[in-house]
Amino acid sequence: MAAATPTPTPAIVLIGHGMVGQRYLEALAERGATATHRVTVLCEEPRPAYDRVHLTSYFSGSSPEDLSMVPDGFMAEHGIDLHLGDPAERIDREARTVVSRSGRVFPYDVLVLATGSFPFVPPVPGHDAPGCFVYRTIEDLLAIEEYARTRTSGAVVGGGLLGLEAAGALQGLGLVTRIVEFAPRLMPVQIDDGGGGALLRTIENMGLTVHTGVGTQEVLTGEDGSVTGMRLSDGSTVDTELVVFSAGVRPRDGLARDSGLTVGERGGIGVDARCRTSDPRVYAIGECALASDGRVYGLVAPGYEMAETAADDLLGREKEFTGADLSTKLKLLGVDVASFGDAHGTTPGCLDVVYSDARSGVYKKLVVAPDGVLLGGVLVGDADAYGLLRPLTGSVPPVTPEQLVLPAGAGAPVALGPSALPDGAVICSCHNVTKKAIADCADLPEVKKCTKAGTGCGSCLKVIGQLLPAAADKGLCGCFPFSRAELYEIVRTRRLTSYREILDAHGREGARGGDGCEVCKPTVGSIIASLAPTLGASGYVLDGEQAALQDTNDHFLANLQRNGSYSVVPRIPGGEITPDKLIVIGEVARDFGLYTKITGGQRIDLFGASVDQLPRIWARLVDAGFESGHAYGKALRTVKSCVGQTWCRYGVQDSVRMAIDLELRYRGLRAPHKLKSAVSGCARECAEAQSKDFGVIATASGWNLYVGGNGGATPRHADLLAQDLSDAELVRLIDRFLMFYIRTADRLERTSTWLERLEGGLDHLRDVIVHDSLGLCAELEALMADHVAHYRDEWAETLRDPERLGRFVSFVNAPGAPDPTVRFVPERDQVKPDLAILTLEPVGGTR
Amino acid sequence: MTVELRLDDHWLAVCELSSLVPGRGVAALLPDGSQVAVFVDRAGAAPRPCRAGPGGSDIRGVTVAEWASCPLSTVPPARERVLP
Repeated sequence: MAAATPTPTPAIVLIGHGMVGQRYLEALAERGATATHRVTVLCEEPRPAYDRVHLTSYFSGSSPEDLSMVPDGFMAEHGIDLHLGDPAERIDREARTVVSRSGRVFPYDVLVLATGSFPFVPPVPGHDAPGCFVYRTIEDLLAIEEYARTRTSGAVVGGGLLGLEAAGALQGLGLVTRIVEFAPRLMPVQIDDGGGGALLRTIENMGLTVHTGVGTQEVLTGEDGSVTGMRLSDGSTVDTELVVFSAGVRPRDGLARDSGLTVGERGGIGVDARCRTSDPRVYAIGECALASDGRVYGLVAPGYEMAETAADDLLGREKEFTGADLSTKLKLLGVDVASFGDAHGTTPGCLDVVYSDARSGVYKKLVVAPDGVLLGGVLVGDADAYGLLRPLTGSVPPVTPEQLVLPAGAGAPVALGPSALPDGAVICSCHNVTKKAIADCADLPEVKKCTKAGTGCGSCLKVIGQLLPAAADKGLCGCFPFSRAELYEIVRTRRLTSYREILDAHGREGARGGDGCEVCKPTVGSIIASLAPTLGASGYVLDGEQAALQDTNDHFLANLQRNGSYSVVPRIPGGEITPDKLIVIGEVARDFGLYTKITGGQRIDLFGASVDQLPRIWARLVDAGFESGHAYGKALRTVKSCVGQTWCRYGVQDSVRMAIDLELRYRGLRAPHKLKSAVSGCARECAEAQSKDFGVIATASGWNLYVGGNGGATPRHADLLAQDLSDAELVRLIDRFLMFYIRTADRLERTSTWLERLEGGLDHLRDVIVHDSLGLCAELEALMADHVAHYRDEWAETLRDPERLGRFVSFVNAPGAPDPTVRFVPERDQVKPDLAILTLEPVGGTR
Repeated sequence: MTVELRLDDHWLAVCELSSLVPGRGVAALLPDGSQVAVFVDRAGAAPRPCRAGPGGSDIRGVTVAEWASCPLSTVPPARERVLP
């Protein structure tokens, strides 16, 4: 009997190992196809697939290895033969072979093209001069980084997604950066004019120069041939030493074209709904493919879906790719930008619901059909709602559209939670994962492993977190397994005053004996400072070991500014100040050349002090009776007031006196976050007390107390806690409120978010601090009494001790030598930071 | 113990080791006008991993880093690019 001829293992050759190529390999492995096929990968780049979506994170510390998309051992485990740095050069479809650059010949039964795209560089004169780059690969970034070391300015041609990423990278490299966009607005594909306007304002405020509506006509070069500037289509020229082209991408379809496969008129390898090219043995997936709907998709999510489709088709499974959701959410230059669905409102009869706040750079537009169905939207400056809005697209949301775009406190109800989403809502559009699939998992690692949700662009991670059961580990950071509130209780009950002792006794196993981290050190420092009088510890935040725990501002008892100088804010309780004290502030500002500005908290900020000047400035201020205003600390800032009954015809109580009393009572109180307050003398509310952490409004018979208010990026009106209180009742309730907040809040959690998070909300808070339902009130009052009794002014303490003053030097080895990089230029009869010196001028000849 | 920085041809005294606060950086001025950050860890002397010092500098007992390469909380982002 003759031996049976073994059936040869079919060969798959994958050309291209980017994100989509890797997804295809994973799809094969998940379906068992790597066991039945011999898989070979030809990769042009010198490293395996990496996360190109987060390429820019290289500049914020991610290494190329961090960006890798390939799990350790993946290739070996699945028997995949990966050839790095050896791209395919030629396809012979008749012979069914691929020839690589090294000359090796790879036979195939199935060929998959995942060749991606290449950056489009407009063919303007000088486009290939030294100093011109594209922004596509890690090698591109390395080259830009190297070239930028000896340059001071850069320009990005293209204001789309990648262009803004590139601009952020250039600015991060210290270059004075400009963006040139041919369209009349930034990100013209994704967002509308309103969103583009908001984005433009925010980006310009960051110090970038933006040119819209102009093209690049020529890259100008110097005698050595390298880039010196650009000529724009409006005839103007701009100086720049480095140019990054980010003017779109084009499908890499040359191999397919040369081998006779059908290619679209405007590029892209034509594929059907199963991702097969004109040759049924050849697939094309990702950015190189022209999908059956006639589009080339430049986003990773459609590429992933094509990879899944091609893998399914290989195994005879039914799956089609007929188009994709182009929703996008990114943080560009620190600005959240998102668009989803019919963002431009092209659906006939659709209507826009728009919220725009030019001051804060927030723009939100929802596009809805006449029957209320959400069609799409644009979010700029605040894209928190993206994770919920995108899955709601195509359905009638459970609340009105205006409630979905208005900020909290402006008439909107409590934010819509993920519970409002149907089970079938797609949460991760990169991997097409539904709410139900996520909710079936126990934790985030399981979600990522089983569904891959959250492993693409990452924009769904927040919603995923809300859908999962509460995490078992609520630890503050990698050093402590406890929350801030739990740490507070540990410190209080065990009377611990040493960070090292706390870390060594209560830190995680691997953190004990270590240095701690930038999360837990200031947190523990704040807890110890809050409890210091009760613990019998020094309340001075810079004593001994405490000094190492403080944030920079606390470390110098001043607020660090953009150019390395500091600002000084003396306390002006209640906003009341005598002419003599005003004169002292003026004289100090004049004598030290400081910029002065009235703050929103009714005091005066003095900017531009060097570290060395701080003690001398404060010596003058303390001598005149001023104290630290704690503008640098997570502590009570100000208690604003209107003039109240004393002067105002409408006032019904002495709001100034009450504000002064409250400010002096709570000054220096360290808290999880800053605390602001105000007292209004009547219901007209001139002091804006309802926007404060604790606000007081006078009534004919006493005071109303409001808590949990907030201005800033997420405004919230305060809630009325108690009415018609006497002076003593008011103070007692505020004592309890503040100490309960300090005891139970999370790190950096303002009272507004704490109150919204508090189980039972305002009713529970009222039960605890008004009705003493937990029996805590005596303890809370005692803690506050300790604070009040032991308060000392930090700057007066500092000035009394030469050793403490010794830290106020720019250079440890050259006391008295000012930092030469802290300079100023004149503006409106005062000074402003000279930021140009920080980016334009070499220092000490080290460039 | 004095903390010293080795420059091209000599050692530069920076400060007494006891004047460094563990966990915090201090700035030191070099003769050419450039600046470096000097750290000491909890143990008081052992160097902490950080990128190499500028110009091949070496140091006894502490860690030195360029402003540009070290995540130093006392320096605003703009200043971290002063000395590449």
